[in-house]
Amino acid sequence: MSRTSPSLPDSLPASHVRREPTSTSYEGRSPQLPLADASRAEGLDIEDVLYSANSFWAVLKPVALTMFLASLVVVNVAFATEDQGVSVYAIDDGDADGNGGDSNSVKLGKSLVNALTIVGVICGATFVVVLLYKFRCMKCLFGYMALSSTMLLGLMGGLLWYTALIRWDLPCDYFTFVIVLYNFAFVGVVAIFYQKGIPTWVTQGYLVMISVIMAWQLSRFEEWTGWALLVVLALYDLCAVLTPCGPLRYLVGLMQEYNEPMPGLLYEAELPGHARHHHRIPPSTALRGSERATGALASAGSLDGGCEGDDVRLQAPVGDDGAFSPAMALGSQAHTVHSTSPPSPLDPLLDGTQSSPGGTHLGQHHPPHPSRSLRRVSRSQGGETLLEDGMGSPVEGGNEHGGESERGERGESGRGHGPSEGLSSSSHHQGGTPEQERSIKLGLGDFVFYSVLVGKAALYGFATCAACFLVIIAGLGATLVLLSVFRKALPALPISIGLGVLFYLLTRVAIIPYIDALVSTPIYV
Amino acid sequence: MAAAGLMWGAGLIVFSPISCVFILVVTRRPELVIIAISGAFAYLVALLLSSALWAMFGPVKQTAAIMVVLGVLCQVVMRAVLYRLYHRTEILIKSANHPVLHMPLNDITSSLAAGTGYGLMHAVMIFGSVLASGNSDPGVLFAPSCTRTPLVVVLALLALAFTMMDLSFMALTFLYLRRRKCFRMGVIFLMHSAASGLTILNDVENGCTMSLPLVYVVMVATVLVTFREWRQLNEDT
Repeated sequence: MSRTSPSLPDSLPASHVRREPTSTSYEGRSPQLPLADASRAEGLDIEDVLYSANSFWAVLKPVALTMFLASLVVVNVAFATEDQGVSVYAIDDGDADGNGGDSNSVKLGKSLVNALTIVGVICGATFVVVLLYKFRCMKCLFGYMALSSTMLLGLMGGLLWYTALIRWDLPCDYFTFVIVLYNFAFVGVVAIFYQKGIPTWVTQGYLVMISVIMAWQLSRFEEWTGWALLVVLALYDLCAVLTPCGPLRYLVGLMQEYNEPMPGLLYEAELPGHARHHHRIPPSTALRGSERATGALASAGSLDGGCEGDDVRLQAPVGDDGAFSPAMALGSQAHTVHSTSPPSPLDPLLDGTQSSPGGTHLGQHHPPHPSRSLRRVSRSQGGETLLEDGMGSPVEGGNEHGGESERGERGESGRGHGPSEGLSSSSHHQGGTPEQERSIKLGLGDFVFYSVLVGKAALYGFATCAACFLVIIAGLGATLVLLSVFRKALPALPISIGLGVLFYLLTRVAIIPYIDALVSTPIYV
Repeated sequence: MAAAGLMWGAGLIVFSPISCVFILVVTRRPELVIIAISGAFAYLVALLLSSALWAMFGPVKQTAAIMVVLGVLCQVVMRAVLYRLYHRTEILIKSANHPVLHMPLNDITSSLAAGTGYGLMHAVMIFGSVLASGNSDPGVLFAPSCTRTPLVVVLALLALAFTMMDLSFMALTFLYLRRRKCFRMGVIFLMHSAASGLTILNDVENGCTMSLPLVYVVMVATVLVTFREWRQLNEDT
């Protein structure tokens, strides 16, 4: 069982979104652009805001559902006694479990040791993925991801089911158990990585279930270790994305160089129809797309520890109707896009890896400005390409999720953009093809770690769970806002997890005693 | 099973109306969802402030009146802060001056969205804690305030009244602050304090027979005042 947890520490849900400073690169754009520039100079761009709002809502629904399911599962499906199933990942788990004699500072120290060990493994795995990507071992990456996803769904999902059967005293024969799990695991892998002929909701459901299973597994750490792991992961994400020596940055560079997608687990959320058909291309969006892509990639890498190497992202974007187009075989967003859009002059750049530089999109509708196209391509290598590729797919089970989140960010900016946003998202589409604009991708790493935080908060009480739930959503929104403000790669974990940990402590220390005092009468303020 | 039915019933009493408003009004537009989340966050910060103040006042911690006044003050302040943030964002967006697109927001729907988020969080934090804790126990909890009705039902009825009042108070906040009638925020403070103060009657044995109907009277009065103020101030402008 423990073998199946390679994903455990690897998936770091780092959604990095990166923005590149936009400066005068937009001269010579279509007449609408100067307006965008002017408006940006004065304040927020309405299209940007509307698009961001739609993206946020599209991403919020699966994240909220996953957090809700994960908190229910974590609270209700647990052994009565502290189980030692995850002790293999912790060095001092036995001691940190609270033999009763340890003081809080000793417990904190031991939990930090555990957390640093796990994050160290994630970091090492990230470098392995980067190396695999560097030496173009795509089949290796893809095979590993498929294998780890099968193990995650089959073995860890089976453990969850088995625990539920024991906890709730439900009857189930072994034969049924094995057959159902076998089918569940393989259909899940096919739905996530292959996607042909499988409805979108099945794929999305499997991604949510993978996140819930991972979150359940991760939340089984003893309390101090679990919280220390979350904090250390958030800090690692911050460093991996924002520092020049981070593996994610290197991976981003590699992706720019190779222009190849990475396999990964990416949740594709559909944008509503009215958010799709913008005809103006806000420069900010463009930047966001590329930046996000880069960021996501970076984050993906950092989170998963090895996801960065998952350039061979297998996520094939699924269209609204789940229709699979041959172009999507590689799962690149670009493919999806291209499947529906007429080829642009820059299409050859995309190749299969999607990185559809924004220029492609521009080429479709506007004569590409040379500087911009160049910019775009370069950005695309880092950014748009990332967007297209949906970078940041975690290699290991867990990491994948991490990377996913970042990808999500990128994909979000890239994919979700309508034609107007096409610039940023690079390749997004040639012309605002419906498929390009209509979805946003989010990496599963974010899903997993947000759910772990909410699950651990739910283990203490309902008020902490509700407060952390809200605060994580607010943190996700704040990250998107900061992304549009700073226009550079930003990790998605730190803000949400930082706020989540802070509000967990504040709720536990201050709010719960206050509510208990109010409710005892009851007084309602 | 009786306890499960009781919990579900109490939960539906509180969360059905506000959830209907949320689903029918707020989820239709993502901008309103963001405003609702901001409203919920505003309540959380207000709760945090009031619990911090309550913890700081050691000797008077047990005085219900102090708890009520401080709590209401924190909430009124946070509603005003929320409006201020909304207004500043509105100014930023309007400065974009797009020729075709307009930010599809107006005070009524925005205040409704903010009030929905605020009221939902209010109900979830206070009532939700009791509901969730009740699930783990086989028995049903009663309090001296209402010896014949389970505590969870009393709280559910109170929470329902307060969620409706939260919607009204947020609408009034937006209305008054938009027109820079800051002193009228005192009306909100008084109405909220009246409603919360009436719940102090629960301290008495079977006090809920007095407090519940009076709280509902205040709720109806609040809603009527809100409608009247909206109509009057909109006619004036």
